Amino acid sequence: MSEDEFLRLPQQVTLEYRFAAGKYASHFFTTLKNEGRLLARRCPSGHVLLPPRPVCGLCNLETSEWVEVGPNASLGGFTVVYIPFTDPMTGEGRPVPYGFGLIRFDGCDTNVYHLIDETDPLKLRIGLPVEPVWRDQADRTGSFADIRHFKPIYT
Amino acid sequence: MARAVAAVATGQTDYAIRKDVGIPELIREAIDRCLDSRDLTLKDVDAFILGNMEMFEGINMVEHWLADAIGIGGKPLWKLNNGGTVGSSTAAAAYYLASAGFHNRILCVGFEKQSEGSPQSSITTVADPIWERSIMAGAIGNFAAMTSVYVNESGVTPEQAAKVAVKARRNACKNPHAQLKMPDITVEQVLESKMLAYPVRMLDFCPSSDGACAVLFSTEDDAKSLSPNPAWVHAAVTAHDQQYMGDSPKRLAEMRSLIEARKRGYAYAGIEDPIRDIDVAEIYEPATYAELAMYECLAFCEKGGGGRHIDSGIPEMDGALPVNPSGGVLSANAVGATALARVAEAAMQVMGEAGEHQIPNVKTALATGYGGNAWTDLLVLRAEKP
Amino acid sequence: MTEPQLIFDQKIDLPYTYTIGKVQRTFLRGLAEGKLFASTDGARKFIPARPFAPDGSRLPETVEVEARGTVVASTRAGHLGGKVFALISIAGCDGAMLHLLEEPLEPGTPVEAVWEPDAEPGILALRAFRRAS
Repeated sequence: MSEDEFLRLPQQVTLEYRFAAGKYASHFFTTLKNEGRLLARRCPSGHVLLPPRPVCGLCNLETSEWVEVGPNASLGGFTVVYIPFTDPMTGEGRPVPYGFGLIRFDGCDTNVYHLIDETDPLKLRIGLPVEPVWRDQADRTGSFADIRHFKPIYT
Repeated sequence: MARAVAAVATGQTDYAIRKDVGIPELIREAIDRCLDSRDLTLKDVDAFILGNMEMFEGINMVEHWLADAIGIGGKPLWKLNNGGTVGSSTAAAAYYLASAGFHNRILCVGFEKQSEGSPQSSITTVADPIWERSIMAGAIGNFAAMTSVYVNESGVTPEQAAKVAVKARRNACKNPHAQLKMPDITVEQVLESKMLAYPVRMLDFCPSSDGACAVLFSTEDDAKSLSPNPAWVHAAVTAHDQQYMGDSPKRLAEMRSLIEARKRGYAYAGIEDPIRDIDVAEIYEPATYAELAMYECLAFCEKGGGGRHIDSGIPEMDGALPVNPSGGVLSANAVGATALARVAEAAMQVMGEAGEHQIPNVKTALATGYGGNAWTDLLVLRAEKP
Repeated sequence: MTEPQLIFDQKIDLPYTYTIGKVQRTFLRGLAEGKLFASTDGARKFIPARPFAPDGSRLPETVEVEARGTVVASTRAGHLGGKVFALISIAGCDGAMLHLLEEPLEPGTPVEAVWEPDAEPGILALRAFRRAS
């Protein structure tokens, strides 16, 4: 072995956690999983926020009530991704290309990221109506992935 | 009474994939270049501030592991950890500590050895574990989705974005440290480069580098004894934004933290007309579209005018307000070092030490850091003592 | 609220490949060949080999040293199957090396290295230390 040959040592670090979801996430995901409904939090100024949270970051007031939003939504932003992505939590590769973007549920002031069922970016636009495609009840785990993706509603 | 603080020396490694050195040797290269430039040794440093993005190397509390490499020797050290902003945050922190009288000579060090990890996997840990991790698309996917909003609002074109890429990689040819030097790059080449996530193409985006940067700060008369032309800090502000990634889709189009930091920073430094009052800017642009949006957020042009601004030639090296004569982040990106490199490059411009990419007669330089969920640092450096 | 409070179990795999610098390359390769190398500035010698000394000065070279030393401290980790970890001071060198013992030994016990045959460069190319014969 030549002295000048470089040396690299591989090391896999696996991190395992058990995150407590807290009462807002617990209520949201239990409702999502069992009833297929989306619950956001409204603050006294009228901001409707997803993910639901105890304080509104726009006005620094405590949120005061649950309010149902969606299920229909519109695109707040979009892209189509062409580079491979391996989910470090599952080890699975996501097939490329895939649509991805910001989803704004009807009645909600914020957006959430999610997958879009479209691979031609020229068909997508800000404000395009989309609807959630749900996983079968039996496959739901109580996470945002219980929605498989959002399907554009083209007219 | 607050003391005046200045950057007095800088050092950077060449940004590249470095198989020949481990992290300790890498950061010592930058530290040595910084201190050697003023004939100083580690004994002359009073305190240290270290920054990197720990998940990229997977070494928790990396400051302990690097104690000997940095040469702390029992002296004070602060470790900062806020994503891409960390480098400029070390500079802001040095300013606050020195200005308040706690230390004189503070060495800021930022580094990243991105070739050693999987940045996309590590970036997944940035996402909220409950709400966001199950649906992630890596930094580029998230960024591209934000870009669609900016494009929709401003009407900037891929050609205008490509011009930013061309400016950056041509400027990089005059920076010995830059990774991507492309003297013959054209707009057409950028538009034909591989699409990563619509509309962001390969040449629209920053590289992933190994590198380190060190900047020495000091105060009042000590600064003047160390550097013939210290780069005095006239403003060092930080600003952060909302919690979840989807909270503000206009995160690029109206980067709240950058606008907020700009207003405060310009007020502290007495900047009213940026084109007139700033001689050079080193900004943290992760991609071409980001630079266009940042022109607007920094009030270099009107809202929506980012595309027209690059068309105008004002941000070119011979323009009225050159942006990133070093080649910027688009030409070299070792995340923990990158924002500090913006401060270093701004300081070099004020000190007259930027070599081939020196802009003539720099009295006022601007440096920004960007990172995480659109956080911002902003510093103003001047030849004149405050 | 009598709703279940949810727990999200997550596992994230992060693959790293560390680049080894000059003196540490010699150290780790040396272990694979049954040799112990210290890093040195000509005067002081440090084990494990590292590029900088605690005072920040450089240790640019390496020098082979005898793979013998003394137990400084040790502990038996019951929760890790009874492995014995120890700090071992190598004769003539500064620093103490964290490694394994074949059996629990008192501080001050002289020890020598046991090598792993056909090993790749790495800290475990030195399998453990045992009481010196």
